[in-house]
Amino acid sequence: MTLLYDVTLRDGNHALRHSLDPNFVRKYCTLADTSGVWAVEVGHGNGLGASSFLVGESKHSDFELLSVAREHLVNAKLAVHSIPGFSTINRDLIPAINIGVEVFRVASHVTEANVSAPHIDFLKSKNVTVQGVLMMSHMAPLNDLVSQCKLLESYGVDTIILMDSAGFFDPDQVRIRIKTLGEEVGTELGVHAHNNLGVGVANALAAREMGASLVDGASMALGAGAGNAQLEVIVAHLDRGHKNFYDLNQFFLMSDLVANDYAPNLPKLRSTSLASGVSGSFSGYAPLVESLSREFSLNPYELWLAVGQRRLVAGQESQLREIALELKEKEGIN
Amino acid sequence: MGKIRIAILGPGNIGSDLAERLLRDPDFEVVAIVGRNKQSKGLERFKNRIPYVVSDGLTSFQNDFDLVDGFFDATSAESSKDNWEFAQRNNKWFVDLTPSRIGTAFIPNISGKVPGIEISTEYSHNYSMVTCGGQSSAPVIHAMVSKMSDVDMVEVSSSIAANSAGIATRRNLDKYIETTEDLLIKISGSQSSKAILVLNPSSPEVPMRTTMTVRGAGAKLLEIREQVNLAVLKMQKVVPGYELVGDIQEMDRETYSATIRVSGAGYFLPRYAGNLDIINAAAVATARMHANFHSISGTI
Repeated sequence: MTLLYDVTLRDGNHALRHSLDPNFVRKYCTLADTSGVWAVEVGHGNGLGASSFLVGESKHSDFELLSVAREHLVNAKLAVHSIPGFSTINRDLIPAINIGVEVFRVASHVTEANVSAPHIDFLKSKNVTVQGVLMMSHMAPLNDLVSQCKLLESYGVDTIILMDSAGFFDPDQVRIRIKTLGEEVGTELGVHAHNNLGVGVANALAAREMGASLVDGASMALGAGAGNAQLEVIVAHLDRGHKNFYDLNQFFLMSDLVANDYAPNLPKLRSTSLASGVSGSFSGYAPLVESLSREFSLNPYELWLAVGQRRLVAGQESQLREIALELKEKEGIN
Repeated sequence: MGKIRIAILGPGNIGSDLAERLLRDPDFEVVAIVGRNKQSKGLERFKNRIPYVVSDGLTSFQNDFDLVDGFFDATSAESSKDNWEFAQRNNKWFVDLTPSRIGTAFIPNISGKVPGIEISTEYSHNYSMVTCGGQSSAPVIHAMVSKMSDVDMVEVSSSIAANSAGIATRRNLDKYIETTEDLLIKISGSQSSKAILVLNPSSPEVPMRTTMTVRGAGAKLLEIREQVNLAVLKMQKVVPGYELVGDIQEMDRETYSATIRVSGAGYFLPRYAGNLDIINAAAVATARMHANFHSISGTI
């Protein structure tokens, strides 16, 4: 059976501008724990230790949110996303282990997997589940993707997760990647889809069809940009083949909780998210691209395309202003 | 004063760039470049240009130690400890370009302005060039906090070309972050600090960028701008490719942010590798300051 990995309380934090409330974590975890999801990921949108001026300050620290989640998860595993370069072993991973996090995702840009090796080595010695994540996975040609996955495999990760951080893929592009990786790499595979091109759920289902053993989803799609693959919709599709394996009603309750408590933050597939998907740019840049477009009277679509041309990776927020300035100069707008 | 006579340890990319730089600098005499591999391309490059091209390690050069005043260590954090012990035993100064964290952090342009960041009165001293994020941000951070009080947060985020981040950097991101965060506290007096490093694989490669953000009280945007502009001008004398990108941002009434771009001089390393260039430029400036101080004060 496909494992469901719930990113509502982590990727959703992008949509909440990292203001996720501990009280909501408590309510959501209580529901999610009996839903059948395999793991619940919690924290800042960019993962452990990412709270910063650069990508946004957390209203409540990762450790505060994780501690609350820990108290309310018995069946589902507690998980975190962590990017070397933002997080460190001493400042972030060790405290998270002490809180009782069971699944650690160590994430890098798709072509830079070797920066993850030290954190993966450390976590493996601590007997926790370690998943290797390749972010912005659309930016590498298939042969590079295979070699980066082989690197992660050599580090001994339990699962390799392809993140479509820009929501760039269509289902066929997902199929060819999972099929090829299934042939070339022995490690279990998972996919994290975004909805910028309206096919988040279809991409998650395509990955599963080709043998991915884990898919990510978020209730009400709460996540960066146009949101993630919508969790309850994935479950409704799975339910057609495996009647009554999941209690769909429980996912409705999780979805309704998000819809009620965070109504103003629900992701929409607006033109700016579509533009981010088309340009292959990190979904998390959406709020900044929108505000810079207003500040410099730029067409957000033009700005997204410029960001895409620069091939920015996640975590380069400070360059968006520079790109906007240059674009403004080029357009001769004063 | 005569020329500053030096040996470079490690003929890799950093050491080769340093050698090219110093061979063109009238204040320096490059006496030796020391490696451990006879097939080293770096050693081959300098065969008829540097008097002592040593391929079997520092110990084989020790009989000629009298020929040099000090060492630049561009080997690795692991080797640096032994190299420094050698230098110390032979009463040489030592500029460490590796991330070993053995020496004391030194930033040439703020020397004497921050407690602990100063030229040593001891001749045999180990100066650490810290990190590219620390070296590129410290002068601007120092300028910003000079006009602020009650600074409670300092953040430095750098993006560097993936091709300029060697395997040692990639294995030591935590050390990079911790070293940079320690330096930020030291120069700003802030309660807390944060360092972030992002590797950007885009092609063609883009030069290093560093964004510095400081939160505190009592600041006036115009005063901060003036101080930062002065600091940037002063940095350009050490690193010509160092420039401010856009203007200082007032994020709110307590938080100010500046971004700089660093392109290298291109002696040996590619120009986009401003992150490596700034370490070499700082190392040369450090050696010059140390040598000046000690010949003036007559300890040698």
